Amino acid sequence: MTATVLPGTEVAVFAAAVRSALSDLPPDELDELTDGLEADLTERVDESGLDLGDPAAYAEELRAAAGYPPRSARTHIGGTLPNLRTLGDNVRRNWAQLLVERPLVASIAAFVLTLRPLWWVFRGVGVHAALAAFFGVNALTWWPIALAFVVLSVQVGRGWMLHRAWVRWAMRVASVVALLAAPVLLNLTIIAANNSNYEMYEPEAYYPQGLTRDGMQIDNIFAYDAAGEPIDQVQLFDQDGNPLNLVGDISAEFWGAQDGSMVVPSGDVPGRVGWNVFPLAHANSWSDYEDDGALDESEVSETRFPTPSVKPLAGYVAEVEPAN
Amino acid sequence: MDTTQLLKGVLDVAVLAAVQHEDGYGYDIVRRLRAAGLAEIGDASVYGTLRRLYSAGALTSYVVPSDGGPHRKYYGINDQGRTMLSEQRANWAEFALTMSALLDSRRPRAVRTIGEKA
Repeated sequence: MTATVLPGTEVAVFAAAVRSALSDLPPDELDELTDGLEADLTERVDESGLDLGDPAAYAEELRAAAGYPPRSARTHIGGTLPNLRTLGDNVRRNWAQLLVERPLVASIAAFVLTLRPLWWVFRGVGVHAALAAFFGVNALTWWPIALAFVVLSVQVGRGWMLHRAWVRWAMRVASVVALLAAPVLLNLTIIAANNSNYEMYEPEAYYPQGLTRDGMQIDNIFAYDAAGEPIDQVQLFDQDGNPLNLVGDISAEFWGAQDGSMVVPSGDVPGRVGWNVFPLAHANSWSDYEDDGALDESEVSETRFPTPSVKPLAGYVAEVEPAN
Repeated sequence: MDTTQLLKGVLDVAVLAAVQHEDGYGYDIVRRLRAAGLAEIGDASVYGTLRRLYSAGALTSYVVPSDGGPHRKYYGINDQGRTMLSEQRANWAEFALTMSALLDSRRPRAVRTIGEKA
């Protein structure tokens, strides 16, 4: 056993090993014989240190002094049929031996024993969940009852009233009930988690960068005047007077279009990158960029309008024709 | 001589004597016996003996909860235990005299006379 194990845990492991070694005794006898064992061992540890010796030898000494026959003298009636009780005894005896011989196993056992308070809490909550399911009430609403069960379970776990046989039996029943209630409990946990999710974990909506129409990225804008003729350069702004731009990063030098080409901003706007001057010029391919990443100005092509002209506005036609 | 072998025969009377004036819990009684000079007594032997004496009706038993720790099981002597103790005390006295006389090699004849009178 390692020195890092806490004294209380050491005592608990030792006491468990002793009980395992005596497990062939009738349960009531075993309980009576080892009742108060932890208190005595704890005091001994306090007085003379952690070395409790061999639990199996300790158990045999206890057994002999109490006047019980040695374990090997036991015979079971039932011939060659496998005796479940003997099987259980063997498992316990091997376990006790394992604890003594393998420090690692003992350490793990000590670790698991340290987690017992978690089980006490679970037992309390589990019984509550089972009762709530039985009576058809909402377990979450009745949480103070759960608290009461948890306190009770933990108190008994700490040894309160545990010397009463009926309390031990009640706790065994509670343990089984709590285990059976585990699925109910899981369900409650999921419900509780979902309720809180609505408030806490609302997924952040995805807003695509740049300008989109019906979710599709707009790569360029072409303006025609009232006469239906294309406008070479037009500056566009939004409702707040901010320059309208198609790209997410207005300081960018180029922007990848959907067709694989690139659009580049106008260089004619003083003081900033001219992303709001339309139509944007096209750089035909990535190869238009030189090795240093700068755009080769000669490769930038004038953007072709989708159509050379559009129909003039009705009002425009009505206004101009009489002048001609 | 290994005194643990000798102890086995007198554990009952030793434990009864340890609780004759005052109730005690397991390790408490071990401590009393060791303080009385039985340094080699094993605590498991004492606990087992306490349990056996209780089963035989010589002791009473009750549990006392302790603050923040495991509860303690106290044992106390009853009338039957006192009767048992006085009988065994007498037996021991006779046995001890006999053994002392036997082991006293200087005056074998005189010792035998005393032993017969006892």
